Amino acid sequence: MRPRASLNAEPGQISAWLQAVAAGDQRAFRRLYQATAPKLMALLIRILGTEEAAEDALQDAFVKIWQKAGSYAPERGSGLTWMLTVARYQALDMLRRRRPMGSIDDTSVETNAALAERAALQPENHEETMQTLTRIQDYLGDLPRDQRRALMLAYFRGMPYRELAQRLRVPEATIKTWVRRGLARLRERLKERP
Amino acid sequence: MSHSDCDSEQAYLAAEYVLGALEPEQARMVGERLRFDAVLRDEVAAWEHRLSALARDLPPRPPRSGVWQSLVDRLGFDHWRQQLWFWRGMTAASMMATLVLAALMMVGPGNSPVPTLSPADTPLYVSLIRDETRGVGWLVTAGPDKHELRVKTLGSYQVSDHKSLQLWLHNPTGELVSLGLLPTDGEQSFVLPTNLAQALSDRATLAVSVEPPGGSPTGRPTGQTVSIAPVTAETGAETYSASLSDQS
Repeated sequence: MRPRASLNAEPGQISAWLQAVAAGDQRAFRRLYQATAPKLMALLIRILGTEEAAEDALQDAFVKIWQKAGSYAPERGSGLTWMLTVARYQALDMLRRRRPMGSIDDTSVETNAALAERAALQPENHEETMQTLTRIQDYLGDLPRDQRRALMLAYFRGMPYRELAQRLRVPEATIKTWVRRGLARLRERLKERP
Repeated sequence: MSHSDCDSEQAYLAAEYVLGALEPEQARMVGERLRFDAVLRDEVAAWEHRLSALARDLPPRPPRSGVWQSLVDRLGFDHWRQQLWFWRGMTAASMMATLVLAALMMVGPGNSPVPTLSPADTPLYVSLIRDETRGVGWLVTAGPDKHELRVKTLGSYQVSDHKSLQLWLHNPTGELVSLGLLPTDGEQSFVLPTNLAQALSDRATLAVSVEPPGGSPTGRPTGQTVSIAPVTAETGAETYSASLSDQS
């Protein structure tokens, strides 16, 4: 039986479920899945590119969540952040295992123009693409396009600096500067909001 | 969260570690440091939180239904054995349902209907907390694993804006622990951590006290106790619960 999807869980509730899961509570695990799987799935599709790969990663991530829930420390951050982090690391591991260097399809972190073009070609994805684009703009503001792209490639593809430099055809020191500017901008933007 | 300062080299290192921008050997060294460097751990946690902002707002994408079933199979959650134990426990559950119905009838007409009892939700622990002076109360039920406590308000409890009602568990060893704030109408569920779930037994009592908004600031009741009620457990419930535990 499929758990009904629900995205309305309070952050404190997710934390409480995680603590119950750490004690082996299968019912809490089911509710945690109901509440968070669609959020994790969105991230995994963004990283891995296909629904099939994302579902494999989602299973692996929830196995880890079941096994490692005891290591979640509520005082260090929200339950959802911890789960997104587990899922992202899981997906990046899969991505690194399967990709030869430089063969990445980075459509989900393309430039604004490329995103708009892709959205036009794939109407069913238009709304999602535009929403994502708006959010990224919101967080990274007026960063130059290449700087934003470097940060997004690092986050959604887990690319190390050397690989990013090859990908974007600029010196590694330049990439490092771009990413650090992106990080600083993100930190400032998040500081401005509660 | 953390005091991460983006101007510090260590903060950048933490951020780059989270991003995955470090070379494998460098990432491994940071991983080693994290085992004993609490400040760096704080930085990493802070950056995990910040960078997750890029993921939190993605439009949700529900996975297909087969994913949950595959996950359950993979983790070895043993449904048919649980269902077997459920049927063995049905006699106990039926008696408890009768007790729940009786509890509702005691409060009088005009209350919400008896909650539907489904196999997964069959209550085996129950407590009826009543405030005699106001003629309202709460029906508290918990399933065999005791990790989820359901509270149904019987009637509508009027409480001042400057007060809240807090539910306490008084276990047989004399320990008094907070279970959370009570709803003043409708229903609410509490997920209990293992230590509290273990403390919930037929020798425990529940109490309700009037506290400041948000609950007692001291971890002990500070205001008037409006009601105390015992927890009742159906015979065989502990056996059923222990059997389920043995399966895991």
